[in-house]
Amino acid sequence: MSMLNYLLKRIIQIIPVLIIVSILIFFMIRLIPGDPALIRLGDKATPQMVENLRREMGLDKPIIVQYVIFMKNLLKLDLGDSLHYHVPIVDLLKKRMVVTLFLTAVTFIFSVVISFPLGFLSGIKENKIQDQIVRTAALIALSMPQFWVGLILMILFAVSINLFPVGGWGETWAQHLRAIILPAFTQSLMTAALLTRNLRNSVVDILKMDYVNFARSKGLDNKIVKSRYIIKNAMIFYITLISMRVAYMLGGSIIIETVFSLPGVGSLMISSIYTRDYAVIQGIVLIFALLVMSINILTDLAYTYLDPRVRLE
Amino acid sequence: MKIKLSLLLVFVLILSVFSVVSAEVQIAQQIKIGRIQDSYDLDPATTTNNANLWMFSLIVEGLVKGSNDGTSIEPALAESWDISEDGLVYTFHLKPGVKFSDGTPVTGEDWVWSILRARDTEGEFTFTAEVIEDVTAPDDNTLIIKLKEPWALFMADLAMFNLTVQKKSYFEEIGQEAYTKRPIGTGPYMIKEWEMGEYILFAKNPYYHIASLPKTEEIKFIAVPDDNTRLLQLEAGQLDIATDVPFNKLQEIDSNPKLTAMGMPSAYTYYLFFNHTRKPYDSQKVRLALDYGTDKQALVNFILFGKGEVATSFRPKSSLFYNASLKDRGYDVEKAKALLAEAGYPNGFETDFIVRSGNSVYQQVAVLLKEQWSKMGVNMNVVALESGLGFQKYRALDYDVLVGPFSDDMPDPSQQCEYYFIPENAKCASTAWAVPERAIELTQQGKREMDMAKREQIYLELQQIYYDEVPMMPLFHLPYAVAMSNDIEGFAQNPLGSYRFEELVKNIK
Repeated sequence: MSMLNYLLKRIIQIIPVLIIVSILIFFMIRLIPGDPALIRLGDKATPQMVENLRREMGLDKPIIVQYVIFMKNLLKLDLGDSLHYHVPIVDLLKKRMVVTLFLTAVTFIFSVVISFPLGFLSGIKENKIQDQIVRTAALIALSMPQFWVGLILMILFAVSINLFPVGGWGETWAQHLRAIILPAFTQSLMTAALLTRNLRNSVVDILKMDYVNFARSKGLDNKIVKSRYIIKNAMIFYITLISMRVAYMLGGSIIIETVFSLPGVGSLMISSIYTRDYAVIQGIVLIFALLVMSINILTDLAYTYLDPRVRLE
Repeated sequence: MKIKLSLLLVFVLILSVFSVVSAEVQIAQQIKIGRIQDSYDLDPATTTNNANLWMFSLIVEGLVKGSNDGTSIEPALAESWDISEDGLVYTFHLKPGVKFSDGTPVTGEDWVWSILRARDTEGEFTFTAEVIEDVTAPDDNTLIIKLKEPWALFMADLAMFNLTVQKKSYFEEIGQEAYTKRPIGTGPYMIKEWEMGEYILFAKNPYYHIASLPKTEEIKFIAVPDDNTRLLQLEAGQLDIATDVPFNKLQEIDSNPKLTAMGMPSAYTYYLFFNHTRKPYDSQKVRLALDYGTDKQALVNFILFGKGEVATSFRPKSSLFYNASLKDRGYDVEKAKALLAEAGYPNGFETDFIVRSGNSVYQQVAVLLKEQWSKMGVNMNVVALESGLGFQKYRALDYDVLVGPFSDDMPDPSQQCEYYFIPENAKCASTAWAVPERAIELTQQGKREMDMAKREQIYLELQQIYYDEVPMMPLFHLPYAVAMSNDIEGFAQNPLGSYRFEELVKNIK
């Protein structure tokens, strides 16, 4: 099956999944007690005012009708207006998506840059001192809660010495870059630890394989053995894990963005849950679902490059 | 040689002049303030919630304003006024030459439109304008307001943010939705940029009617929801001022040589809300017993670190007509137990105390009260709920007891009395209290009694009734906890919460 056909087929498969996700999120958040209109108006509101606002928000209609309206707008690529801010959700998300995607991308880079050499080294030097050190460090990194690590890093590198800003996003791209380092590093620790272990185990297994010995016995340069045989084979599991972790990174942005005060989608999600802004919550969940599924497709495509035994079906 | 020497002297003179000039302290162009939450609706006629309300003193002005200590009314855009004999006609003489922040002059039509809009738009603060019958502007410097009946607190009503002057043609041009994001007024600042959920950037109003004010070019209010991050940003100099400082951090911050932390006097009070539809809270004796069995001073000492005061009356201490004769009942466990026995609960009772998330003071109150109340046999279960859910239950009268705040928005007792004594208004702060007829009468009278001495009697009596009945238990008055860099001067916030930033500056060397 050609690459294009495969791509088309996978893209079409996204649609039923998105529909199911939309149904789940739409009905589930409305099950949570808490009235967005009441929360918006506060404790001095009269019952009449709350009723009026509910009508304005479209919340007085039966739930199925609300769902149909939502889906109709979605087909027009209209996510609707935020119940809390009264602005189109796409306007709210424009800048915030940039922040979160940038955070996720830099986290991704840090995770790979940290885990790749360490995992490889650890695997090659199985059970030697380098391996022990790396594995212990990975365990420590896995056990530390992100919000605590973030806070400590801010105190050390932002308050005591002014190397990085204390949270915030900054105004120029130079400032954005400086601002994203600590949050991305904090978020990358867990993923880097998992990837390091994963790569280490793959390398250890591959080194035991007969084709590696065979390649060496043929007299091939060690560099070629490394790149063509060991790394390429280790990549399959590595990439699987990375693509799963990206989904975690998107979700984890909620914590990191709150601790570091980054104006991204995660912090918007948290505040929208508190204000019961159904429209924003639905919109963000659907976008994240779309992103995660796209990454899955890319991962599957990458497999075909790495392992010729895998065919696109 | 002589010429060189004189040149040298001249040179030295010029240098010294420069050094004198540059020794003058300069001020920062922008001041950054961190707060817990961003605003979301800045239309003065429709909005609610302190995150929105406290911004208005920067951008809009009315005929009068509350004084900086929150106890009296001062002229704002009205220089003077006359009230007719029958108390029905108020004539205001306006300051001439006032312009909106876009440079256009304020007209009589703008005044009339703004006031009628406040009256005719449904919102939480519409009550301030309900008594207005008609508004006319015979010329741009005179405004005549006719009332439906004599109204004792009309001047306090006029100090409210919804009765400020705004530009009619601008509103008609951009429409309601856009207006909530970008209102314009005559205040010292105007909104330059607003990234929703992130920050609001206020810039100096170039047409402000007091030429030397405001002193600082830009003020940026940044939303930093995490307490720790906000305080770290203040320490690192990323923020100049941080509000909503947790009380347990005030001491620590103040000991930092570069920072100052203070409690600004406020009209903010915390209460225990009792649900009168649930036993035993329908019994006055039980509520009285709980008052005796609560050591409020301990709450102030442990939670507020002493930066607060025990509340006796339900009104704040510095407020108009405060009843100073009411004595704090103190802490008397034996008396509490005796009262409980009289009420039919000799062995105490069991109850659920709802604590809403997101506020560490609520949690601490619950923990301390659980221990205190156990001494009189009241077994309290602390039920921690997410804030939206807790709020829902509270309004639906699905709770036993919980802790919550109230703060005045106007310098007059009638707002709180309206809310606490009149059953139609959300069942007396969602307590379902069976209000004595006398209290309802007094509340209605208080709004209309024009004689100040008689008016005072009314509110003194209302406070006495509240004190005797204990429908809710006032716990303590607490200040606004603010921390700022030592370079900041001129920070002013009146007890009702509105910021007075005309003189706010940050000195830089």
